[in-house]
Amino acid sequence: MPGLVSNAMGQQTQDPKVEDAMSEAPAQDTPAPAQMPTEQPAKGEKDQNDPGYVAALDFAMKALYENEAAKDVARAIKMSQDPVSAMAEAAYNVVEIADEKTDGAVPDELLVLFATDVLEEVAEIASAAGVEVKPSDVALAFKQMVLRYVGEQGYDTTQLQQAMDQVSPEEFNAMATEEGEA
Amino acid sequence: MSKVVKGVGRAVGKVVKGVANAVKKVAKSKFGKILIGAALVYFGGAALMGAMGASGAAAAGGLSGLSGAAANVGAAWSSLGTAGSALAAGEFGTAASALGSGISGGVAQGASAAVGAAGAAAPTVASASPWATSSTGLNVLASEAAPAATKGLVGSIMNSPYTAPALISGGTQLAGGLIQGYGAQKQYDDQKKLDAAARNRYNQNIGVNLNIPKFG
Repeated sequence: MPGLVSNAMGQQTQDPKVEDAMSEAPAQDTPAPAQMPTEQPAKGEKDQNDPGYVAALDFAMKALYENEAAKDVARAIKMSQDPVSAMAEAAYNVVEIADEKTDGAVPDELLVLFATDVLEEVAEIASAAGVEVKPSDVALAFKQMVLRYVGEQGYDTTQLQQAMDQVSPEEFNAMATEEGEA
Repeated sequence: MSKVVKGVGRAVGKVVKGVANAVKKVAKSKFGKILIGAALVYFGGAALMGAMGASGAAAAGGLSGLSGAAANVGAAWSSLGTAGSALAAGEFGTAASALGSGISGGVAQGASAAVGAAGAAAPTVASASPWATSSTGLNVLASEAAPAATKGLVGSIMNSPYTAPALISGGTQLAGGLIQGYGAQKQYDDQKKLDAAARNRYNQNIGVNLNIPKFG
């Protein structure tokens, strides 16, 4: 698994198609798509209409779906002993690579939103590939991404992880079940 | 290493504060709705404390099991300093009020169904009794009974009977840590003063004229 997603995303690719796609980062001044709403955020606020965010998300989606990285992601998750960690690692790598390829265009305030969008896609890919993805798995994968990011920033995540571990993952399954019944 | 690789150079406080945008998003799928809830819980302990005074925070839900844990998460975020303070100061007032719309389409509706199933609380007011049952299950004066619970994730956490003790516990831990830190600092300062006084005495003793009498 280590490096597999990176390979699929083109960092050490052997597939010229993927490498070509990865090298074509969206231009920073790419105009917003016409179908996007024209509502403007308050001054200083960023929202998902931010051009940098849109560019990075577009890049990530293209890399996943047009360059067949999704197949590699699905295969990696299926073969993994721990689908939760596999989803977290795949999503984290996609976020990292997309952010790097767009030269950090995603505003800091939208990085968490971007990460949730990517993880959502990774979960959908895994589910479509036949992997049983429970709501608790998605929540746990998100937790792993958060802890990994905070740890990489130099913070001691021991106490935070202990506190997060107190949250029962089954609550998320119950949440989804009740939603389905509602 | 570029400023973006591995998140280096990112303002952690800003990134963490941006969870408010994540919980406001319109989820496209069931996984998206779960992620909104997860973002709220795993980031939101401290955020929810900040959102306590937020208007529009809906009340009651079926997530009492998460409330205490979420509050402990908040205390843990606070211990991280910059990141935690970014959360506590974050704009969760807006996010909390948006939860009613952002989450009610999924999570909170399910939560409210769980509320109904678990028998959680609309206040019951007997015609003759001065007492009523609040949304947290405690007995309160009928005149002080809270209005019937509305749907929402924030409200379910904030109105759980486990939230207040968990918040108190988390706050006590923080206060205890501060007190211990102050005590250790004071001890260190006192020791430094003693060391300085000893050095002064030593320095003063050098070259003292002993006035040894001369004989002979």
